[in-house]
Amino acid sequence: MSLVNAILKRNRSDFLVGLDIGTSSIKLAIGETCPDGSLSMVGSHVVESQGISKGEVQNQERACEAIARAFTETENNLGIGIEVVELAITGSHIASGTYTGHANVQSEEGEVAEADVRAAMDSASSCAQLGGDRAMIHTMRCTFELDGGPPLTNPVGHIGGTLKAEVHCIHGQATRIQNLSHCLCEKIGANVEIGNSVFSGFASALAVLEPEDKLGAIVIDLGGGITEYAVYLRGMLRQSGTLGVGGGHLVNDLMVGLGIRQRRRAEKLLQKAGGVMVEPGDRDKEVSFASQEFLGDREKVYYLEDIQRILHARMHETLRILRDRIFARNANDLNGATVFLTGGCSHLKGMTTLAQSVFDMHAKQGIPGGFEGQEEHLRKPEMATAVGLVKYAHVQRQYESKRAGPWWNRMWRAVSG
Amino acid sequence: MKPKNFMAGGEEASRPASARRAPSEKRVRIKVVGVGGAGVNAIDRLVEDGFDQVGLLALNTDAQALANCMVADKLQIGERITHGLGAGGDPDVGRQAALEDAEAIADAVRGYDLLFLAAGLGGGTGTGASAVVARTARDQGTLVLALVTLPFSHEGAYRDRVARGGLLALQDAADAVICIPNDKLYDLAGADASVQQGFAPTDAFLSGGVRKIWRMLGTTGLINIDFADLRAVLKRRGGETLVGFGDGEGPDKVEKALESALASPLLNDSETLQRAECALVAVTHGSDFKMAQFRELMKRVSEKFGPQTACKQGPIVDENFQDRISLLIVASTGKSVLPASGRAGARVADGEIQTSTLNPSSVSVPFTGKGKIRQGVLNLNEVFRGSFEGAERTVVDGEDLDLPTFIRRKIQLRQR
Repeated sequence: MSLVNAILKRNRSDFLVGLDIGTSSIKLAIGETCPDGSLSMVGSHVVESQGISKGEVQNQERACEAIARAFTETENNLGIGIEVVELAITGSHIASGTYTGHANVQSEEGEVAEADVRAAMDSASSCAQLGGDRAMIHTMRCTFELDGGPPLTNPVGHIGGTLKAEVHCIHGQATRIQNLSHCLCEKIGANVEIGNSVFSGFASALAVLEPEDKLGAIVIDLGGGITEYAVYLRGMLRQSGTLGVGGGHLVNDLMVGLGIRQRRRAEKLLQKAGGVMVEPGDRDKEVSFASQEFLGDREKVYYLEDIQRILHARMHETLRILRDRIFARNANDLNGATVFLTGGCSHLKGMTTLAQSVFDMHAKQGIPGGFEGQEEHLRKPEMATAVGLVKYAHVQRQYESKRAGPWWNRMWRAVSG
Repeated sequence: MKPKNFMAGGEEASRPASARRAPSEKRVRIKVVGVGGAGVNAIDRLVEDGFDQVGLLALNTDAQALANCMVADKLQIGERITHGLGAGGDPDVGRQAALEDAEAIADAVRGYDLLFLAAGLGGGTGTGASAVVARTARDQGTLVLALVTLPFSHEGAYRDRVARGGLLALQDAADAVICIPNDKLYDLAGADASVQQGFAPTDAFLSGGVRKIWRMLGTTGLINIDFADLRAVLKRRGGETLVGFGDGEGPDKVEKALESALASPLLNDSETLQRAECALVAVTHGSDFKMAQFRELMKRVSEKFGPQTACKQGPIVDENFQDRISLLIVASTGKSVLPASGRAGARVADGEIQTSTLNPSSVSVPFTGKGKIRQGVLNLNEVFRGSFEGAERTVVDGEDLDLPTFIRRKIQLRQR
């Protein structure tokens, strides 16, 4: 190992590594905290994924192989050692809900302390009543109320008797969540520790939403095998979930509809001519595509309209299902909200137009932002989850160091403790 | 006979699970909603017939029309937009009106298992608001069965187009839509019928249908037909729903009942019956009904269906039915005759009616584009599952989303 690497390795845990193991590709985003506390992205790496279906491990051996390759290549390319990774979790088993709970303020003066907030949130999240095989992934605070007063974002320091908390909980099946980390830790044998496990849809939202966007936003991550969504209202995450439909379905639909046998060919056709709106002007347009047959090359011709119809049907249906789910719970608060599309499928022609018409809202591609650095290939919608993981870890670390206080406090604690 | 229960109970937040049948005496909660002028007229007929076992609701934009109707439970929508003056034949106004009062509608249809929606398509309120009402109810877990009429052919192409657009939106929103062209009803009433009499069969049909389904669900049969069966037949089939019923009395009661059931304007389409994928046949009879007669009846009914039709039979004993039987047939096809969204360039988004893209010929006449037409219908079981082979299926509302959408939506492609 080079000297540079050896020097860097000393500080390796300063790097924040986001690992997004997707159905079609494995993406890593690497960032670090600048001296002034801001986040700077230093690199990224993408490799083709294997053994993953609909966001979950299907073939452990092949998945491990691909993940191991991603690690080695990233370490070599960037000259860093990966020690801690932030892991994205997804899968059709993930569900969420918003729950309320109450706690009595303990102090005599009635001043709300951090402990009361915890108690109220615990009481709320316990309402989720998860079964034996389900595990909580996130418990996020939404709003608080003191004795039925106006909603508060942070009640600490306010005076009152009973504190009501509303929390948003994201949970999943414990065994299926562990599957991926098991793959990482046991099988690869890499000396890798898992920092935070974050729901992919939440990570994507963190990456692309500016604080003012969070007043009303629907983030839809259209991935290769699974679609995640997160709904932000008045600054808080209010709804989230997954739907096991992704780009792989588009490819499959094209294969069935146009009689294409090789998957690669259908993928290429999707990239070349994929559009999700049926354009009247394209009615008689044709797409020719060289195909390797037994005896030399042969041109195959498809109607562009057919391709558009197949893709439109699929994406329209997918967005409609999401819309129905979201509107069923939050229809009244979504006025003026924006739909952000991330993930590889957000590049499809006409995707934002379709989203706009299905949701009847403004729609646009979600581009990861809120960090420094020249890493332009991180500012792409498909990198949202990986970047979001880094941002999550960054915020977490800042919060922890703030709680720990300045260095002399920590030193004092170390000495006296 | 075991105690019968169709619904798991009010505390069950969502859809009833047929597997879970607690022994209680809860009945299926039914609501009948009339939307727009024609819809409200239809439920007025139920009031006239003294049928008060179900919840009735009249829903209209027109305050005057609502004031004249006999139903106790009324809901005026879109006051802010229409000022109580009706939608003026504009389905967009009807839709906006319903969206404006979406909460009130949601409250009104909350807590029912089965919702009948009656409307006349072609006007403003019935065409525009129906889909919104249906969706609102379905989102709450209610099975929505819509009974709608299409305008007379003499009402012109515009109304027809509006109606077809509304029908597409409604098919998207409701679980099942039974659609009667007014022309057929006119044939039924006869050429000499007055204008008023010409509309009576619609009202009679709705009234009769509601009562018969109510009886089928509410009585314990020798072979049970329950809400779960009805749901299985109607639930989001994406095809046509056929309903017919008839009564018979005296020695040749079987003959009479069959005749009138099959002559019903919604069932006299033998070609569609042949294509039916599943059917429910409920026979209400007295204790004097002979097994041989029952078998004869079922044989005759089965003949009408195709070989692939899954037919569920349910004899229901009712002591009031001495020497009298009543027959109810509900059938559903897998194939849609009306174009699914996407075909003929029509898009139906959120119950929105895009009349401009829908021309009447594209609705009734199959797609006539350039190139060879390939019907997008494959045997679903043999469809290539590609990379989803072995993966957990993504099933939403009973639909396997791993199968290509264009096949499930019966969207036609031009070439291979």
